[in-house]
Amino acid sequence: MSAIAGLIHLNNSRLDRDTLHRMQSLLTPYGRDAQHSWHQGCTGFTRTLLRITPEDSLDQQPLWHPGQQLAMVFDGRLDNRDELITQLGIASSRAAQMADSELAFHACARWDSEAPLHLLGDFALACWQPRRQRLWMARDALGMRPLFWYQRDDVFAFATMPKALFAIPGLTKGLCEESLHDYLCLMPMSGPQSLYRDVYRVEPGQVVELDKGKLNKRYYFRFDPDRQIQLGNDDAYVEALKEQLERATARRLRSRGPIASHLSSGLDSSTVTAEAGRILRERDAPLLAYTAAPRKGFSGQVHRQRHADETVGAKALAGRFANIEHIILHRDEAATPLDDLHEVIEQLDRAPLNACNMVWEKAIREDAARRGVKVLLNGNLGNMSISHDGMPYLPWLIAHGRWLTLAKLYRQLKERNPNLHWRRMVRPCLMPLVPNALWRARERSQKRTASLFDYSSINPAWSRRVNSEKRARRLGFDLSHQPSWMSRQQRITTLYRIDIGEYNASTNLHGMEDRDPTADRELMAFCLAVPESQYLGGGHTKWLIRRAMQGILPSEILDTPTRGIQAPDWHENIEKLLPQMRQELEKLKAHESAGRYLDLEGIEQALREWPTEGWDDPRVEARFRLRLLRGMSVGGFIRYAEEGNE
Amino acid sequence: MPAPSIDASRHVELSSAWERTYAAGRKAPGHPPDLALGKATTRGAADALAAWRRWHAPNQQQRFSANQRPWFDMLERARVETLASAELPGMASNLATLMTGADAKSVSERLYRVARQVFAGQNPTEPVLIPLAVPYETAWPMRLIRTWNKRKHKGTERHLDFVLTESCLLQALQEAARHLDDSQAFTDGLAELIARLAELHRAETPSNPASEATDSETGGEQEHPDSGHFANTSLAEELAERDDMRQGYAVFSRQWDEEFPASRWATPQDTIALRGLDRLDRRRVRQLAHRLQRRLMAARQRHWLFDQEEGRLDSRQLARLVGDTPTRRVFRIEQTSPLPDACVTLLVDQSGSMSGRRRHMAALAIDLAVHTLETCQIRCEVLGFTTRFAADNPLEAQWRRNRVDHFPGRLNAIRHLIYKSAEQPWRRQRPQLGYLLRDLPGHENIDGEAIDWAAQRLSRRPEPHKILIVLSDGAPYDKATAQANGRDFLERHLRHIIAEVESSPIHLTAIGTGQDVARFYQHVLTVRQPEEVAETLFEQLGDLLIPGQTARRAS
Repeated sequence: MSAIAGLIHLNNSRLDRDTLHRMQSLLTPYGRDAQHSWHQGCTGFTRTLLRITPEDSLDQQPLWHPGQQLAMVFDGRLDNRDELITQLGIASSRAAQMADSELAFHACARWDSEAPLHLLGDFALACWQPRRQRLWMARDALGMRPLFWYQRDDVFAFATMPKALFAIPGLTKGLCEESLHDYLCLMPMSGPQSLYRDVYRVEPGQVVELDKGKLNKRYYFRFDPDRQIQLGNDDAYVEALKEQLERATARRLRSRGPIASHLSSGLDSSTVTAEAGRILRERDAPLLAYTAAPRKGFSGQVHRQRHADETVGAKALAGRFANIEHIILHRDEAATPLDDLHEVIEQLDRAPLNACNMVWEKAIREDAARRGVKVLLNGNLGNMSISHDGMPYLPWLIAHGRWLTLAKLYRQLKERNPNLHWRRMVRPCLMPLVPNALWRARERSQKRTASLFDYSSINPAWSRRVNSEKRARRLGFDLSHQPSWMSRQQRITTLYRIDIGEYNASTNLHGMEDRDPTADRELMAFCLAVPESQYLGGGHTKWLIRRAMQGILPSEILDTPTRGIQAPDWHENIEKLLPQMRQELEKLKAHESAGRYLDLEGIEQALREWPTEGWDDPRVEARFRLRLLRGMSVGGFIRYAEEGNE
Repeated sequence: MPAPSIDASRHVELSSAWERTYAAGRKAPGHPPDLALGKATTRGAADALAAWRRWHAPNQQQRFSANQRPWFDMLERARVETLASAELPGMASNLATLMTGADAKSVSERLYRVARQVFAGQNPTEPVLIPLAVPYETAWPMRLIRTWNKRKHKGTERHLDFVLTESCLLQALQEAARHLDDSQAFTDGLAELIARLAELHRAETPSNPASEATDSETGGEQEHPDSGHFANTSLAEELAERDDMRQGYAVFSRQWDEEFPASRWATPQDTIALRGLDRLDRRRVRQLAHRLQRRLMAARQRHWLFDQEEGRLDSRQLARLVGDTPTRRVFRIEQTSPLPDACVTLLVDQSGSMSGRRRHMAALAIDLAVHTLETCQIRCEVLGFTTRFAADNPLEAQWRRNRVDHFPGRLNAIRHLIYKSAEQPWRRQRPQLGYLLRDLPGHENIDGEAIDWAAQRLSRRPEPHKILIVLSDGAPYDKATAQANGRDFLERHLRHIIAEVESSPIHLTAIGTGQDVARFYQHVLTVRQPEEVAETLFEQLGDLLIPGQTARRAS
């Protein structure tokens, strides 16, 4: 993995090498193993490298071919090396001496800006053709690696992280209000705008081209919501998923050091761990599996559909694989979610969405770093791919008048869960179909969170001014979170809701790389195209993955009726943190603009009314865990982006 | 014509320098009536020139015709001098001397004196309109003639509307005195009076080359051949010479700026707080200090001087004692070349964001670093910087009242602190370090000027090796300045200063407790935890003072 940056003077003046050097310095923590630059005339590229794969030791970036007049920087990993080598007609002996970046260079030389379609893996790249005065940049289909750009009359620049762009004289850090608004409202990221004013992102699956000073953008890859595959029978879908899973996981095991995996005992991380464990066992290689657990002795209440201790299922799975070393990390009793908030914001160049998860994620990364781990597997996008629950199938059946199938499904569900009353089916079956106003009224009557201000600490006055509702509608987003029966479209929207590129890049700071087999482009496309009937059946939600992992995952994971909860003891140390949070609140009050964006009065009130119990109540969780902590997190980011001396 | 004496030219230089300093980047063209730079032979006149440049609103001047303008200039001069007097007591005293002296002969001079008195809230000691006021007020035939004239010329001439009484004049001045800060309202209030004065005293219109100079700059009338040219060229040269101009920078006012030893602000409470520094776990930092000391001492170049008549016996030369020509030169002396002849400046950001543990660790690191450097006989300066004002910023208030410039430049007063100069021993200066531990919430950081100041001090040092280490936590920021000029204003200046310093013999390095610092400096070390400040500082000092060793280690 690398971090990349480039600077082009559009007025053909000589390159400002000092600025390029500062950009490199800012990206060095993301690629601590090697830093190199290339410059020619008005253009300069830089790359900082973190060696993860064996081929990374061959990396010679930035690449420049005088004959082809092509310069390139590449950040990422190619998962289809063999396929590419064949397509490009490169001799295998020569290909063995090529880093992924060099292969990507050959692909770009061959297919130009169509090359990204031929590349599989997590990547971001930029190509410069000085004769044509043309630059083009691209990111992988799911945006696993980040890439930002900045343009003004005399300069065009790009970088893995926004912080490197702020080394350019004339570009000052400042917030993009629209993006901040969408972030606070949890709306999907739309368009190229980043959280910073004047800084834009290359969107996932997009090619951005600068040709003689003119900018063009196009998507080279988008998931098709209308695509559906039809296989012979139910088992064929299971076999196909198994095949896709194996391939996606095997592609992500290329490493020059130990491999670890998150194992939270949920279906996604368990599937990834089991699959990786199985493949590595065949190679006689070990796998570290990390499970985060609450502090020792924690017995606090959690919601009745949740369970706090995820170690039970995790232990059962790890016990099935001799090559898996299972590491359970109990939360440090002194740790709090806001401990390193400012450091995390600086690393991410954005506000972490869930501050509570920072504690255990950091603990895992630090332990893995101590063990020299190079690859950390996860199943973050599993909900959208392998473990989709299939619930939208129910309203789809009603909308299409498939009553018999619905009755059959209900019977199966009832067989599996005898306590299931038909009234409990009303909500998932009908609510996606009712008008939104009715949905909101019902949620309110049920005392559930239905308003934006229930879960977001956005300043209501600002929200009114921006007209959040209208903006959400324009973006095709529902602020009341009414479930949709258009499953594929909803999953695709959710995929692009948060740009996870920066999160992945921040893992580089620990000397390792995050890899998500459930975010494999081909696997994702397959899962989106599988008919909904495969996800809901046999009395099960997530039916497809349950069938695929039958016999591989233990019953403690496959058959457990409740879902695990991350950081169930998050509230324990916050009480000690209240004075610090009040201090932080005072700084936000003194800040030039934080009060404009955030409901500081609401945050203050929440701090005053900090509860001592009721943590299993979803409303308490929404108000304090989501609204308050996210508010503090975004507040920290506002202070980072618009610095002051409060 | 005799050539001007050296003293006179020196006086002009001083006057010019003071004018530039007080004007703080303003570019008011021309000079006040009856005064030009060459004529400023007294302190009062120099102050009048400075006040004119600082406070004069040239855009108002253009509202008046050529014969009205000198009257306006007289009143404008009274206004700017009143404003300057209100700000600086010393200037008030100097400017008061312009009011004393021989009785004014012309109406315009009397107008100036009376206006100064009225604007200062005093009762006028002499009338302005003696020649006209008496016949008009008392002689009815004159009044009759004027009335007849008025009727006769009704519709064609307006000059009879310009009848003026002393009381009217005083009333207009008193009204204008309420708008001294607002040049627009001030001019509005006096426009009629000026018109009347110009009409009544056509023959006595005072001359002011400054007006003509202004016209030439604004594309108006032809400039005055002598003084206008002088004013233009000298002004252009002065502006070209200005550091701020060269740096694309401006300062609203430097009169509130402070540069003092930290002892000025350090209180006994700060000294008590300093004891808290001793309670911190200093072991690790001490270790680092000792390591640096060992590195520095080891870097001393040792060599032997042979063939000496005293010293340690050189066994290889013993044969000389028994030779044909015995000699006593059989000794050798070990000589140690001095440590790198260097001066190190540590410049600490003391803005509000540098709070709590960051300050403590920075102070601890500085304390031991200076001690170590002194032990190794390396000169060292410790400087701090912040702003004088936080939320209650009078400069901003003043700017908002006047609104003369859209982009006023730096809108806060800087506070530059000297904890230890290169010559002072640390044991005496250390108690002042307590002030570094004091939290200054809301106080800002104007890094560009601070680095410029520190670099200028360092450049005056005789040591050939100059090192400037900045301890900071972020980008330069002052709320008032950023709001008035944009956030980029201070950043641009900082980048400019850094580029200048980096191209000089000074080695500039920054230690930042956040990645933001790396946006600006070429040589920067980022620390994540405050505890890392000491480690990074000592490491960096060693590398900078013994570059050869660093190169060997790196290779």
